[in-house]
Amino acid sequence: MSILKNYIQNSQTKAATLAAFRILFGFLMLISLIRFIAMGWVEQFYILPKWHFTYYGFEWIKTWREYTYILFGIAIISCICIIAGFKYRLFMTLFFLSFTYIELIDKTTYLNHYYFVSILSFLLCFLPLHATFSVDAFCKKKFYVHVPSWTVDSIKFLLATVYFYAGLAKLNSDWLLRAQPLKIWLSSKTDLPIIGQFMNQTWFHFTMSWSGAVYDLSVPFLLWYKKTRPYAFVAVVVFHVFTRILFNIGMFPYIMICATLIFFDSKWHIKFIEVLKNLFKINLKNTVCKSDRYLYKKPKNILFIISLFFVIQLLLPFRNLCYPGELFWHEQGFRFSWRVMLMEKAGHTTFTVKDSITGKKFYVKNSDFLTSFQIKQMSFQPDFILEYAHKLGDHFKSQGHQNIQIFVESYVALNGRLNQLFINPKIDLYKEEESFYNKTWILPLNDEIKGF
Amino acid sequence: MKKIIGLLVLSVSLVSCVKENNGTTQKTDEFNRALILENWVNNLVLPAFTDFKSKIEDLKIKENRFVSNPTTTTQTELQEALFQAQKVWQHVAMFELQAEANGSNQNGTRIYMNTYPIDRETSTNPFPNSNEDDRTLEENLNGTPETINNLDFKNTSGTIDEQGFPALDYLINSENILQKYIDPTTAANYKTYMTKIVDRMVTLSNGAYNYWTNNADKIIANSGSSSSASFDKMVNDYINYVEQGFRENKISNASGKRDGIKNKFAVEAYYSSENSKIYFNEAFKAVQNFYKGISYDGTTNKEGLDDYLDYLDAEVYVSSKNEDVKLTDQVVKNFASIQNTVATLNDDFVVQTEQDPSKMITTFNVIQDYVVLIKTNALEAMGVTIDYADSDGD
Repeated sequence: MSILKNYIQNSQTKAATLAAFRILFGFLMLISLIRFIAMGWVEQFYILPKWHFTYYGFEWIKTWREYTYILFGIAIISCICIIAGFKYRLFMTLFFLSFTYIELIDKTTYLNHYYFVSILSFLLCFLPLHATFSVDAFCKKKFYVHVPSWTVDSIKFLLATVYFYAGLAKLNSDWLLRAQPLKIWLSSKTDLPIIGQFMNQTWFHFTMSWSGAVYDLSVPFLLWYKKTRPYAFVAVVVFHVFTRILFNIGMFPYIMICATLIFFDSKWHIKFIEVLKNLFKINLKNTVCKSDRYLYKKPKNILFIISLFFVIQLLLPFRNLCYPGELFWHEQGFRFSWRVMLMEKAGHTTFTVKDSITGKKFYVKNSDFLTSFQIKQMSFQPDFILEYAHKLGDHFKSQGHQNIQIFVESYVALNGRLNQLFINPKIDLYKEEESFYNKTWILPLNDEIKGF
Repeated sequence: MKKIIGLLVLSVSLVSCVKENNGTTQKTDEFNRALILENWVNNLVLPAFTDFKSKIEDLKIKENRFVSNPTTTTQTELQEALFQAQKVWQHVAMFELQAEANGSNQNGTRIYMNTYPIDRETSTNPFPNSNEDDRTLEENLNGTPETINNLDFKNTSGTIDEQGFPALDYLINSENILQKYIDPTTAANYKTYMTKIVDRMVTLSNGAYNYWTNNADKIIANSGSSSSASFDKMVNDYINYVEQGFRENKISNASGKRDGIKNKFAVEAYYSSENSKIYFNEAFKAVQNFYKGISYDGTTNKEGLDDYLDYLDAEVYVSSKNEDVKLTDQVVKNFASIQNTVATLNDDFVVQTEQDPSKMITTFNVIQDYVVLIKTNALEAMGVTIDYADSDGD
């Protein structure tokens, strides 16, 4: 206990590490946001769809339609201020809120790396990333040299959690014994130069699967220890560049590569800042005085929040243990748990609206209500199917239909298995409610996936 | 530090070599896809459209002859020309790339050529499934030659079920129809309407034919893999056809699969329904040809989806048997069961629907097995996405 106390109270590291992280983070987020807008995705994902799929408990979060661009504007301005270190806490909080709000509008676009950005920015709200080399510090004429070690370590710890949990999740029979879903994904990439020739070979699928698992499980430790760190970083770069070449994963590889730089010794971060100073000809020698250590005003409160945050982070990915059946199949407890690239799932799901008294029924054309991206995501995720059934029921009720029942015919294929019936077609989904309880109307997978 | 910067530079430069998959970039080195495209375009699409064009031209000639001299002989000639054209139509119905080329939100050719049942008298009676709108075919016929000529079949909503093959079928194949062209009180209107419809079909046929012949090279050259590549688009059109044009229109609508009400009027070519199974089988042949890469004339079997799936070693895991089955073997089974089921159907789908619609529903089910297999397992294996934004993945 005293070791911990000593660590929290006395252990310190260079503030430059946090400043370097702040600048990289702000810069990458800025690029990501601009890219998102440039791809036309704001319109496609937040303006054009008639309906949005909400997160349970966050149904009150609505799209701002055309004004969603304002949310992006707030996030972009926040990024610029984060880079400059201007009113850091305010703009970091604004960034966290605006970014998270955007993500919560529609779960169709859910990606683990968006979730990562959300929770990382939450954590960063409580850390003194503006302690040095920032407008804030400049205005106060105080550049702190040191910050408590735990501030930097908490970022490292979050990164380590992401990798390690992603590795744990790979320890299952589909990934290790059937090399799925990599087999499906890699097989059609034979057109790539040089490495293309391996893409359709079984040994390559298994090599990639196993090395991916080993990488995820070991890299946090290898990054943490000084001796193995340079090798680990090479592995990080190779791994993420490889995934970038093979898969369509946007900014994520760059974000992870840059984020892992935080594991390096602070002399690198000091050099990085020196380089920036020279580059932009910033001369601060005579204008600010150096102050030794950044001190929190109320460290206990901050530490409590951060500890609680990590307890939740460590437990949340295991919530799937509360549900019977195959996690990959029913997906109860699948999100927010670093289960990355584990499934290739596709479905064909259609709905019938029935009048329970007259027996009259008709078939719903999904494209009348959803975008093709939403149809794709809805087709294999039970919580989407349920929410959509309710939206359909409410819609037809408002049109004057009565005694509405909603039935679904859904076929889903998971990780190269032959497709099978997914949802009990005899269940009226309009009567089923979303909750944390097990969804009994999902039919069981005719197979067993062993492992995490 | 230098090492790190070096690595970063290396990684960035490596990554920047990779195409941004935003739907506009192309790659030309996808050996298989280019071969398949070439086969589809040169051996399926172009010969089929060429044949279709000639059949429609013949239809126009026979229509001319009939309109200028309506007799039993010219009527029979026109009926035969219609039958021949509609048979070939089954082989071009799935190729709709020109729709997108005409601009977004533009309809393809299929919806104008072959939307049935026709909207004959009122929107709900006697055809409960017909598209709801105010206009009906009978109303159109009750106008004057001027009002008929002023009808805009392209831009007026609700006209899709008053034109094309189904309308012509009604105008030439329905009972005692010849009298309408002889009776002076109706002859002018019927003749005008028929000419109007056939001219519209000629325009549509020429439009599609010209699009494909003029753009064939461009379509083949766009052989990458993104949502805007020809391969992905043609596969998407194919699936759309198998689902809508084939499964829903030809089988499901009449069977009552969707609404529980059998509806003989929804059979393709209701007024000459003795041909309905022939049309279905032609369409089924086209569905298989595209998948297998068999040429329109049936003489060559080159690269198709089956060859691509085999090249990819695509397998499906059947957990009940604990074995991996070749995806293409699974499709062979699907096609066989469609074939066997259809063999039990009456040649006249109106008779079949009236007597035993459950067999139509069985046919729906076996087609559905194929649809689901293609939409889930096969698309996954080929890395084709169903029409949607190329968004990021995890």
